[in-house]
Amino acid sequence: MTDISSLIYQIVIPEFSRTLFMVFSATAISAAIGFLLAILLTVSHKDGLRPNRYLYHALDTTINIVRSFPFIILIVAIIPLTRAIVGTSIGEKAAIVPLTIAGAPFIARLVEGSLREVDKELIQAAKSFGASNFQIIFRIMIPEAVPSIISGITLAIVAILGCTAMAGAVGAGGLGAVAITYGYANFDNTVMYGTVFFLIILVQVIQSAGNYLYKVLK
Amino acid sequence: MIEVTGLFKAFDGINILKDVDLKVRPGEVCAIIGPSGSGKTTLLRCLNYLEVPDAGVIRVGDFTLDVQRASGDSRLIRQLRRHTGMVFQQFNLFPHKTALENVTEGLIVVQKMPRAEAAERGMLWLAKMGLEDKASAYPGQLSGGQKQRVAIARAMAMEPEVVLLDEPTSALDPELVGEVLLALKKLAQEGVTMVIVTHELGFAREVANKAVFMDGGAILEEGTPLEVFGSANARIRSFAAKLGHSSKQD
Ligand SMILES: Nc1ncnc2c1ncn2[C@@H]1O[C@H](COP(=O)(O)OP(=O)(O)OP(=O)(O)O)[C@@H](O)[C@H]1O
Ligand SMILES: [Mg+2]
Repeated sequence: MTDISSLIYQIVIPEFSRTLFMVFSATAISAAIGFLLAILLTVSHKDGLRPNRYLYHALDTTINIVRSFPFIILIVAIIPLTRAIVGTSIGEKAAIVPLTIAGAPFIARLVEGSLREVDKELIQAAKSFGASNFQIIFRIMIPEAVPSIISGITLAIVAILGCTAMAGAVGAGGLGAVAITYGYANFDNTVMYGTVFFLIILVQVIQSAGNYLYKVLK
Repeated sequence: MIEVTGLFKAFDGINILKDVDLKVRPGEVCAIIGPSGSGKTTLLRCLNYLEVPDAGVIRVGDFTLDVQRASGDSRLIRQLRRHTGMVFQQFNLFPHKTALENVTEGLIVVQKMPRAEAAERGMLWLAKMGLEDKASAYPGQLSGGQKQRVAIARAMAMEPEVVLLDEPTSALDPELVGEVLLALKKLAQEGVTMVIVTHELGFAREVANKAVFMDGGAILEEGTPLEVFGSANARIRSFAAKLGHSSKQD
């Protein structure tokens, strides 16, 4: 059994920084790729600025395929790719690869939804005064969609945080891994529930920050 | 001035515009009237390329675009759009931008005008529309009539060759129609070239130099408003009678 203070100092704090590292690196890379995919999806959609059935279909199908992998299987399935990119398949850096591959299509879908919610009428107005597709996307659609994109990203951060626990199960560190290995495998309830409690707080903080940003921007 | 010749447009294989010719001289106000579904909106949207016409030649000022040769050339299409301003029935304002930002958006983004200069011109047009005190209000805080005047200021600030207005007062409460028509009348007196789809026959009679009656995707009659509204054509007579009847009920 572990007491509360050693739980916090020896386990939670060091593992917490690992979790943060994984979550925020994966979110940042996923967001960059997801944004790009979302813009391509929106533009090439049949009602988009520049419809392209083949491009839309290719992206749409790829995203669906990647998203249908259960995360734990994805981690294992792409081990060769992970090794090729980071040189190892174990540890936080290695975990970022599957986290990003799962996160990018997720964010792409969320941002695509946000961009598609932008009123057709606003796009018409922008077109009517001669804005180019590039200007319409970056100066009209994205700014109008920002609040909704923020709440999507918040959702994605929480989902990625959840995935880090699974990544923990196959060798990445982090709070989720602590809960599973120390708590679940060693029947140490203090560690397991303590870490879970900490994760709950973390999710609350992320969600509140996201909600706050959403409100301010709206 | 705007001139279109031989304009055709089909939706799903059904011809909506059938060989439309229209010429509006500089400083003229042309009122387009006609029954629902006659193609008035489609005509206006084709002039601005918000709908892609199937054939025709559009000339705005010294800029000419031949539909069959230009289709797909986004540069030419944008150029055409910069020569024409559009005012929509539903205002189409940017909800997260203030009145002034709505007016300056096109100047800054499309014309790449410095912000200060754009703000100055934006304020000028808001003032002309009687909205100088609403510059920092968001569309959600404005009445329908005020929103539509912001939209008119937005179109005018781009200094287009011609302004296209699609039923600019149809979405307004009856008591707000007057202020928008008054603003348009002022623009007409300043010599702004306008093509306006409207059911306000009184306004058309008073302000327009020219009226066009559309039916079934073609121009059935054109001339001065008096000539067109007083036409002996049975379609026009029944249309005008219906409008007259409904406006008496208001
Ligand atoms: N995007 C579209 N797809 C298919 N059909 C369309 C489309 N837009 C318009 N139409 C059809 O074209 C015809 C003309 O429509 P339009 O909106 O130009 O009429 P209108 O004269 O403006 O009518 P109203 O007075 O009701 O506004 C109608 O039969 C309409 O159903
Ligand atoms: Mg219409």
